[in-house]
Amino acid sequence: MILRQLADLERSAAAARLGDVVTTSGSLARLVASIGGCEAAHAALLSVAT
Amino acid sequence: MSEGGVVTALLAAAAAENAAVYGYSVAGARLATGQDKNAARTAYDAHRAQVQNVTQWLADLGATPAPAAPVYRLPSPVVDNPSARALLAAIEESTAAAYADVVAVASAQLQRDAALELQAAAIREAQWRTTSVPFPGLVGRLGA
Repeated sequence: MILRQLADLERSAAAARLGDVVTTSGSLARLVASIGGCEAAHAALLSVAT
Repeated sequence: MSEGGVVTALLAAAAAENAAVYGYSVAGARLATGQDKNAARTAYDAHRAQVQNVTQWLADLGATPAPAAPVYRLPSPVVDNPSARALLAAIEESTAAAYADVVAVASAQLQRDAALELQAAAIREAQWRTTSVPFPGLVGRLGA
């Protein structure tokens, strides 16, 4: 249950990062997009674990 | 943002996607389980679709990507299941890095689309590694 909730939170965070990224540019945009990648991957791994 | 910079980044993304298609066609046969083979097939289809999408993004900017090469140099030999998974993880990291470069120079919808593709590559990379990757698309490039 907790893992599923955490996966949902990570998925929401990854989706929000797509909105964040368009407010940035250059190296910051790259970093924000990568953080979104981390969150999306966490969500996927947590979903497998549940 | 300079349009030339966006075109350059998209040309690299197209090359990364074509290399990914080739890599999956090589590594897929070495994967051990049906589940992994199915995942590889799905990823192969996703990369093929992205070749088309990136080609369209380039066409919108008046550019055309180089055609896919018949053979690509692989970063490591594929001889068994672990080496196949390692290659696929490396391919996804390269793909994520290519999209990170697009994100850095693009804006608006294209920037968002590239960020979404970075996420898709990060998910596949984590699945091949069976662990999360710190800063996908930036591996070895932090501070750049």
